Amino acid sequence: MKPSLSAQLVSEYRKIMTWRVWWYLVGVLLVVLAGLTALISQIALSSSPFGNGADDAGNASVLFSAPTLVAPMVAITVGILVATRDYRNGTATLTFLGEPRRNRVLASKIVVAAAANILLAALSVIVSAGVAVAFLVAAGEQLWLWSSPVQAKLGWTVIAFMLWSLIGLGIGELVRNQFGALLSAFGYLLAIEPALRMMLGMGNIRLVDFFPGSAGDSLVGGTPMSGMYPRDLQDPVQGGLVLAAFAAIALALGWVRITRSDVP
Amino acid sequence: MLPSDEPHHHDPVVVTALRKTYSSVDAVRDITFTVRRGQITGLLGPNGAGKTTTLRSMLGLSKPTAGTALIEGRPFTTHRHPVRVVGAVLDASGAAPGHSAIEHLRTYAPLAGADDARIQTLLAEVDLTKAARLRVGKFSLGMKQRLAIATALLGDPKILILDEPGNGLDPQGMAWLRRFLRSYADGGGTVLVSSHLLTELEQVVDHVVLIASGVVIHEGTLAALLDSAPAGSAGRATLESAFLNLIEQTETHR
Repeated sequence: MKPSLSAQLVSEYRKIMTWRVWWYLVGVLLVVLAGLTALISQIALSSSPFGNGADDAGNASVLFSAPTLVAPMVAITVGILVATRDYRNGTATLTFLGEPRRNRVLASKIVVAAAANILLAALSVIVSAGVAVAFLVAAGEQLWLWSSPVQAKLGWTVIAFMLWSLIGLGIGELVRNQFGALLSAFGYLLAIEPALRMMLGMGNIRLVDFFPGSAGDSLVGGTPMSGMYPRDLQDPVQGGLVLAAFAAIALALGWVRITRSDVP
Repeated sequence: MLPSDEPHHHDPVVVTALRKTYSSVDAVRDITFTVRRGQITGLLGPNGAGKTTTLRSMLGLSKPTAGTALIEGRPFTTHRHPVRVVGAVLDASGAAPGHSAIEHLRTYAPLAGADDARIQTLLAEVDLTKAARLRVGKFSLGMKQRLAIATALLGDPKILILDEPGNGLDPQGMAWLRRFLRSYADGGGTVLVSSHLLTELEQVVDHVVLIASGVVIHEGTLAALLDSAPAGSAGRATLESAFLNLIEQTETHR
C-alpha cells in the first residue's frame, strides 16, 4: 500500500473532527447568528414593511444576510487554525514524517478547510434562514426564502466562506505563528481595509473593487454593513473572481513556504 | 576492528558528510556515521552539538546543505511508506493537548496503515491502556514520552530514531525506556538514540557516535571506547570520562 492522498486526508479529517475548539466555534457561531438575525429582522420589519413588488425580495434578503457579516472573519479564522494548529501543537513533525510530500499535506488541508467551511456556511445559512423565516411568519409577511435574490445570497454566502477559509489557510501556512496570523488577518479586515475603503471610496477610486473585503462584500451581494462605504459594490461574479484570486495568491505563498522551508 | 564492525552498504542507516548551515552558521559541519542492524546506537554529545539538526536532516524535516542520509538504502522521504520504515520520536510533547491518547493515535494511524487493533496493542505495550481516554494535556512527561513512542511504532517500523527521549524522565521512566529499547533491539529492531546525558544511556547502547561542535569525534562500539579510555573519577573508564578525554584530544590537535 502506498501512502495515499486519502490517508493524509483521513488524518486531517480526524484532526478537525476530534478538535473540541472547532465544535465550540461552530456552536457559538450558530448562537450568535441566530441572535444577529433576530436583531436584523426586528429592525428591518419595524422600519419598512414589505410590499409584494419585485424590489421587495431584494429588501427582504437583508434578513438572510447575518452570515455574510461574519463570513470573512469566521472562515479566515478556521483556515488559519487548520494551517497553524500543527505548528502550535508541535505535531507538524508527525504530519510531515507520515507524508513527506509536502504538497500533499497542503492539498489535504485545502480539501479539509474548504469542506469544513462549506459545512459551517450551510449550518449558518440554515440557522439564520430559520430565524428570519420565523420573524417573517410572525409579522404576517410572505417567506421570501424561495425568491431568487434570497437564494442567490445564501448560495454566494457558502462560496464566500469557502474562499475566505482558503485565504486563511494560505496566510496560516505562510506565517505559521497562530497568533501572528490571526492578528494580521483581523488587523487588516477590521482596521486597515475599512479605513482605506472609506478614504479611497470617497474619491470613487476603482482600486477599492480589488480589495479582498470589498470583493467579498460584492460576492455576497452586500452585507448589513457594506452600505456605509461610499463606493458601490460590484457584481457577485466579479467580486467572487477577485476573492478567488486572493485565495490563489495566499495558497501559492503558503505552498512556497511549506515546500521550501524546514519543518519547525 | 572486527569485520562485523565495518560499515556495509546494507546497513540500515548510513549518514555521509552531512552538513546543515543556518544563515551562514554551520549547525553541523561534517557528520558521517553508520547505524548497525539490531543494535542500539547512541548519538551522544553536549547540548548544541548538532544532534537534533542531524536527526531532523536525516528525516527530511530539514533540508541538508550538503551530504546524504540513507535509510535502508535511500533517503527517508523517498520511501513508499516512510513511517513503516522508521519510527521517530523527535518531540515528545508533540500532541494536541485536547486529544485523548487514543484520538492522537487514530489521527496518525492512517499514514502508518495501522488499525484500531494495532492501536490497542501499542497502548498496552507502552502502559497507557488505562490512560487511553485521558486528555494528553493532563499527561505527565513520562506518559507523553510513551505516547510518542507508541505513535512512532504505529507503522511497525524496524528502525526507531529518538531525540533526547530521556529529557525530563524520572528514574522509573528512564528504566522503562532502557528496558523498552533493549527489548526492541533484541526483537531485531535497530535504534538510534540521541542524548546529552552520557551516563543515562551507558547501560543500554552497543555502539556510540560522539559528536561535538557539529562534527563526529568518535564512532565505534561502547566496549572498544571504554577499553581505550583512561579511568575517570569513578576509578574506571566511563562513557563520560571517555568523552571528556576525546574532547581534550580534539582540542589539542586543533
